[in-house]
Amino acid sequence: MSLVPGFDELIHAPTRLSIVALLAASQWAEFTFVRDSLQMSDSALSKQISTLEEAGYVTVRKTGAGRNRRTHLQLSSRGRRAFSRHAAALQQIIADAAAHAR
Amino acid sequence: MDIGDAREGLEDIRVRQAQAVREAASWRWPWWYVAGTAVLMLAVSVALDFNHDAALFTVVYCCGVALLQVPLAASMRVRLHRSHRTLRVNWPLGALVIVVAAVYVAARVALAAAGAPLPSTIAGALMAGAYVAGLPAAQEITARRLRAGH
Repeated sequence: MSLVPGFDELIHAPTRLSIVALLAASQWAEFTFVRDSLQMSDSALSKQISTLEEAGYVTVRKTGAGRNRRTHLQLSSRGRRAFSRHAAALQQIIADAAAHAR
Repeated sequence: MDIGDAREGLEDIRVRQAQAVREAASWRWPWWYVAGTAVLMLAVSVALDFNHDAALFTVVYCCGVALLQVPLAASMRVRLHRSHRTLRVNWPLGALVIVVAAVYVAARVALAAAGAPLPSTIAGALMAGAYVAGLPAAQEITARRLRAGH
C-alpha cells in the first residue's frame, strides 16, 4: 500500500508531516510559530527543517539582526506539489480500503 | 502504510492547518499602523484645504501607506497562503475602505455646500474616526470568517 502514487516517505514522517501541513496553509510562517505549535525544541525543529530544505521542499529566509533576528519558513512550489500529492495519496489509501471492504 | 496511519496523517494535516488559520485570525493590525494611517488621512485632508493638488496628495498618501506596510510583516508570526486570503474572507476590510472613502466624500460635499470653513479637514477627521472605529469590527468579522473556513 505504500506504493500509492504520490505517497512521499520524506513528508510522511510524523513531525515532518505536521511541519509541512502548517506551512502548506501559510505563505510563510515564523520558525518560533512552528516550534511553539509543534512543541519542539529549536534543535529538533532545525534538524527536520534541514532535511526538508535539502529535499527542496522548504526555503528558509533570515531577516533582521540581533534581538530582531527572525527566521521565516516557506514551502517551495516543489514542496507544495509534493504535499498536495501526498495528501491525495492518503485519501486514496482510505478510499481504496473502503472500496475493498465493500 | 495502513488505513489507520493514513487517517491519522490526514487528521494531523487538518489540525495543523487549523492551527495556522487560528494564529492568523488572532492577528490584529498594530496600533502604530492604525494610528499612522489615521494621521496620514488627516494630514492629507488638511493639506487639501490649502492646496488643491489632489493627485499630489493621493501619491503622498499611497506612499505613506506603502511605507507603513514595510514593518508590518514583523508583527505577524504566520501569513496565510493566498488560498485563504480571498474576497469571501476579506470583504469586511474592503467594505471598510469603501465606507471610509464614502464618509470623506459625503462629509466634504455637505460641508462645502453648507459653506463651512476647512471642509476637507473636518471631512478628513470624520474619515479617520470612521476608520479607527470601524477597523476592529471589520477585523473581527474577517477573523470569524477565517475560522469558519470561508
